[in-house]
Amino acid sequence: MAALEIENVGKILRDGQAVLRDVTCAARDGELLAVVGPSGCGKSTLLRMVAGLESVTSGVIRIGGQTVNELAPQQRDVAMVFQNHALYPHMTVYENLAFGLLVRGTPRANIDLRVRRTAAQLGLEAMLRRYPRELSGGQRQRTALGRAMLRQPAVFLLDEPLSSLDVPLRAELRRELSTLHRSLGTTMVYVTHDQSEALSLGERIVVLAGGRVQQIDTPVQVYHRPANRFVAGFVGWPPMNFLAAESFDDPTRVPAGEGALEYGVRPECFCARPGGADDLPLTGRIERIESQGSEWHLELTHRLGQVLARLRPEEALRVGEQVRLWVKREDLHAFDRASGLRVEL
Amino acid sequence: MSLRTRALQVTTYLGLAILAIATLFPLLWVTSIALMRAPETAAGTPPLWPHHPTLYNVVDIIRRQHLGRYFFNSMVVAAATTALSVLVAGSAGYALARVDFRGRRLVSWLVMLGVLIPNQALVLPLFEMFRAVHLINHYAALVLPAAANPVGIVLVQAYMRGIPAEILDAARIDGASEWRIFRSIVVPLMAPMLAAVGVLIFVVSWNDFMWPMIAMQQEGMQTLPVALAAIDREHYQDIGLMAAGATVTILPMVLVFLASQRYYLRSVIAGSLTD
Amino acid sequence: MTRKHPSGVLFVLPALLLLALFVFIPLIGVFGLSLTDFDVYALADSANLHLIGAANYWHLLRDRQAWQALEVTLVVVLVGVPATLLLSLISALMIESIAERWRGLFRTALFVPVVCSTVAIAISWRYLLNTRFGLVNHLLALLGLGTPDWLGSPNLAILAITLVVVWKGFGYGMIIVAAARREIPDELYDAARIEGAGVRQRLLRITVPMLAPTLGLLALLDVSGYWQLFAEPYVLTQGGPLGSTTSLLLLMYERGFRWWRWGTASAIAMALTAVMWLFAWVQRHTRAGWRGE
Repeated sequence: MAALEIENVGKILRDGQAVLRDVTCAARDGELLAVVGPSGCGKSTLLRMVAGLESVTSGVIRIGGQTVNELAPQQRDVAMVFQNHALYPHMTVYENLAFGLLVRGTPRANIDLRVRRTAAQLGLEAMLRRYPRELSGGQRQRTALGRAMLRQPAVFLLDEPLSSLDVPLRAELRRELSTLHRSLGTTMVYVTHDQSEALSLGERIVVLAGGRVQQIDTPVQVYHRPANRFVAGFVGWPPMNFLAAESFDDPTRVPAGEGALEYGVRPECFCARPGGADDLPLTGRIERIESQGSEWHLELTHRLGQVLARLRPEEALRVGEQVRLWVKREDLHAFDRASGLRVEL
Repeated sequence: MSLRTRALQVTTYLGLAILAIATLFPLLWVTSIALMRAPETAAGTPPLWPHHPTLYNVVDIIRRQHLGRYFFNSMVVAAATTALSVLVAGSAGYALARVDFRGRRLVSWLVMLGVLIPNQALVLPLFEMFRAVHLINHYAALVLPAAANPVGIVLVQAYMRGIPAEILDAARIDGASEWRIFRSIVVPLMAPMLAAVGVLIFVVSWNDFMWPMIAMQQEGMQTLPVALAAIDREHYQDIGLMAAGATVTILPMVLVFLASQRYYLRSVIAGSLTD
Repeated sequence: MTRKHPSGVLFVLPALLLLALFVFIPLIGVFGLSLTDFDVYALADSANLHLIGAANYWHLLRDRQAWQALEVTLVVVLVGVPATLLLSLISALMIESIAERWRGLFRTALFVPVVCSTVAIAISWRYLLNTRFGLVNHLLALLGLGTPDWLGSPNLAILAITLVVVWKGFGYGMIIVAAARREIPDELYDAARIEGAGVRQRLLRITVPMLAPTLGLLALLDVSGYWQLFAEPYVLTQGGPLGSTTSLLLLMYERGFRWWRWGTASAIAMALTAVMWLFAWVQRHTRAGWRGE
């Protein structure tokens, strides 16, 4: 077990393309750090650099205080779970699990004990003699997890481990992973493009875009105090609405800051009635109502554009009618139009 | 089924049957002649079937022309060439596809260039080189140049590209050394292609003619096709004897092919998909 | 992108060494020899070896035997390759259209000649084509079509050799074309059928265009194989009658190992290689054109 530190790390490909620029982040000992970003943001590359599968162009990576930049993967004491499982197709589940210990010269009896214990933990006892092609998607993923767990590595790296599974299975394995992390207490880095997965799993989240760190914080902070317009739009579903002061019924009541501002309101922050005197009204025409059962998604056209609001179902709401919605002042996010950075109101 | 499709189908089977007879008949006829004796082979067109099948010709060519010796030479050369080629092509094809090292692109390019060089055009300097190191009339003179086979490398390289790189990454993280990865992961994964390349090279080596004829001039060192061509120049009128020689040369490769058809045809198909 | 592994060099080293020693150095050697008057005297004493520049190539241009060998080889390529391609295509399409359980049998039957020793095949065909007792003429005589002297007359001999080459070679292409045919999705044919395309239209508008790149590659494989024609004429006709079946490689072999005139022999080898590169270049560029469509 060990902390992972990534300091000013950059990656430039042979063709001169910069994949990562000046990335600094850290996972505390035992922490589950989720790295999230759109595809092509460099998150997988970062993980592979930590694993030692890609070289580091600049900066320092430390595991347990030791600089590992020049160490080969096998010297780093890390384990990794791959998106497509990367199980050895010519080996049984047992052999897949045992391989890492075998090549490190662990005594056979010890290997057998640990393989069986891990298999029991993951519910794979009955699968030990099967080949990967004879397993279901979930069993494959569990085997890949088991292979990584078995060596009790200092850092556990997961590269979109659930993205190849279907939705119900993904939810189930997400819960299992969370439990597993608590019982193992190992430092984990979890890479995903799915912001909801990052929110639900990560103790802290690193949002990455364009090869740069956008924000590092707890899920609550990332959601409620996004550091910039990109994070605000990327985290949360349906995404945040972006508005101008003039979108509201009375622009003069909208709090102003320095410079030109853009405002953000999450869809669930609209109310059909005012809650207090300070609430800001916004009037629009209902274009579409999409029922989600317990709530409705309303598409409104207001003076300057469109917004999406999540509301409790109400008989009174009809397509084509005007409706006035209210936003609490504390639910209003503001971003500098030029830099995109968050502005506190 | 309409009458037209039915007619088309009958024509197809008929066409294939005719083609199959055309390809198989010459081989069967020669085998049949090899089993005949003087009266049948002496005058006019030999009959289609031997009336009194006998191994006389086969025994004759083995005993008088020492065919066993040449058969042995061919076996040794083909087996050694295959073993060496599979080793060389296996490791090079793997590294070119899945290991990043300085000069990889240059080596890949050289291999592709090698494919485009007709090796029979190189026999003159090759002869000089082997003469200089006194290896003419040694098995090495046949094995070494034949193992310099860029096609095998290209086949393995293409096959290896179809295997996810993550599997090798997983093994690296599991702590396996590069050599261990090669031995425990790569070799088992590319075994089907190694088998295919092996069979292909075995057959090519067995049938090779021009260079073996040049490099093996000492009596008793020739391979089967070379010896057969030499016997043919002297005894071409002895149809029974020559038919026996041809049969003995052809039959082992037909058997090898029948036994390993799946692998052999895979290498043929892969060869057309590699670039 | 993977991490650099210096060990990669070790994996390719044996291959590199073999290729350098037995392909690239000999290639440079052939080129070097082609610029000398290396002959039987030089073989005995290297003092008799002189650099004579491009003289061997100039001589070749005025060498009637060389022109004849070029013509012989070109005839085999120009007649043999289209015939082989056509047979490969037809047999592959036929095999792919019959019931699954019969395919293996026919595939094996048509492929067997490919794995047979060329020398042994040539010997067998010499008996088949024998004027006096050959089975081919026996059949022709039964049909009242006369008994041509297949290997004894210049024009027929080159055709006979082409016949043997095609007979031995088409099975190889058949396997490749059949594999490519299986890659064409069935939906394409279903769609064409719904739009009213008949058997012939489906063949000409879907199958053949879809197979074009494969046939192009196959053409290069066949050309480079037939361009190196050697064993068939060596055994069947020994290059005769009157040099009418002496291929370029056979001429190189005779100049080199019968007359020990290595200078000219090397010039022939270089010319042979150069033309093969030309074929490869042409093939690559026409195929690029297809891709761009």
